Amino acid sequence: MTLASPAWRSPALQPRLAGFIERQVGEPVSVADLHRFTAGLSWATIGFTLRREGRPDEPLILRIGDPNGLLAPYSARPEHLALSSLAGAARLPAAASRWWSDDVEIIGAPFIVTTRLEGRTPMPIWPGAEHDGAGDKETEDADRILDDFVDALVAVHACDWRNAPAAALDPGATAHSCVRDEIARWVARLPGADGRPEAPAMRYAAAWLHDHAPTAVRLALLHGDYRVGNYMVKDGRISGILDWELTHLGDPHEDLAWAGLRSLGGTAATLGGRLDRAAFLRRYAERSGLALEPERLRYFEVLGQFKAASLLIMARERVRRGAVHDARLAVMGLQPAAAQMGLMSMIKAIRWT
Amino acid sequence: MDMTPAQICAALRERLAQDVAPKLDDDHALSQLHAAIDVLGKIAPLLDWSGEMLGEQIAALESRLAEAAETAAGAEGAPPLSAPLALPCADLHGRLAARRREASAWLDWLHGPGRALEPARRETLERLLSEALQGMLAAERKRIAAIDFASMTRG
Repeated sequence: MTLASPAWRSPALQPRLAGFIERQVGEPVSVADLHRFTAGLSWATIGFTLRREGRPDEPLILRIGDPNGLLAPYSARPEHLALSSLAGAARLPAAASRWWSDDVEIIGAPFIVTTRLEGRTPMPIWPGAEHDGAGDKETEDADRILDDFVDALVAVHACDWRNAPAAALDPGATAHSCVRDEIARWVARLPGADGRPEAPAMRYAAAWLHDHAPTAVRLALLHGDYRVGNYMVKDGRISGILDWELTHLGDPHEDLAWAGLRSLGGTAATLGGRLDRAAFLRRYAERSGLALEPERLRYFEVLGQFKAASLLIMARERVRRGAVHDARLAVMGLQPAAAQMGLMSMIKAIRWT
Repeated sequence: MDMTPAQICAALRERLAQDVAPKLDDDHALSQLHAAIDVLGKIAPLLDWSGEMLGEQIAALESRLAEAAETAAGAEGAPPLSAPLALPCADLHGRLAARRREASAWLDWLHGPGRALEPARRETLERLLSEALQGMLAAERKRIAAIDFASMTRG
């Protein structure tokens, strides 16, 4: 199957984006300097400059929920709700949401336009991988970066979402239901029927997670993908928290566990091979006032691994369906066994030791 | 492995042709790329997953599922003892798919009516099913090297 090229992948993007923004601001604009950034397997990220008569040029970011992306179908609404709710939060450098739309008629996919943050994005240093030296400056600044990483997460979790746009994120979510809601969202993304994954190991894990789902210590706004690789650094400090597409309401332990996941480059001692894991948890507890529960963290590590394995299975499913927009999905599609082995081992360690 | 080598080849060919070829302006580099695309197309229908791997996966499931059936003997609604499959021995994919479905049936029963089983027997069953799945996954995992995320996230 050959994928048709949507408007956002064609030269039509520029005039359509300009037309959309004109309708929002009520005056003529032009967009220029469109440049696609590498990396994401999910949302496509494009930098551009907005030009308006009598105003300075404005560097902005366009994030597009590629209908063939790993977590498609997408909505830009959750990211908009989260960023709008967190606008102005102290110690949380995040882009401001300017405009968004889920109307695929505009550029061929849901999208959000945000302010552009400056900095580079250090990626995880994978255990055993040859480190090419990129990001060494970030390694030297790791302690300050960790401080910022903790502060930003504390700020997200402290959001008074009930009195903010994020109240519309998960209507009806409760501390009792939110964990099972999250399991259900991920099960729904997997091949399967009747709310059960087709892959037997995922079926087992989903049932185990459901049976042992805790009531949240409190219902907080979560980032949903808080980890090394999703922050920018400039002058030795975190200059931006990125990728809010998986934001939802849940237990703060969920973000903490995800940040250290081994499938995302974490080790016993580090988050993503870069930040001190023990210090992360200790400082978070000190600054948030939340008494962390190790057993709860272990549960959410299993849930995190379930999601990581799900992403790989979803990549495999894309290959099966011939809907591959990125060759890296084929590589990922070869990896679900390893991730599911990890998942089974984590459950076994809780269950039988 | 519910994804075929041919599907992988097709995905790679398409991305190389659509995303890489238009970006190359060196004739030699383009010739090498098109040779690779051509080879992927020609070998795709000749490829299949290792029969040895599929055999190991089937064996891992069959042995533990048979034990599970013995352990659950007499329990109401428990899936029956695995019967020899009415499939040719050479149909490894078909046999594996059938055993995977059986494993799923056991899991559904264990997390449904099987909850009424006495705890010790239920725990034994859970352990057997867990071992069956781990054995199946291990046969695939040991043949596929870990992903090189670092080289794919630069830029």
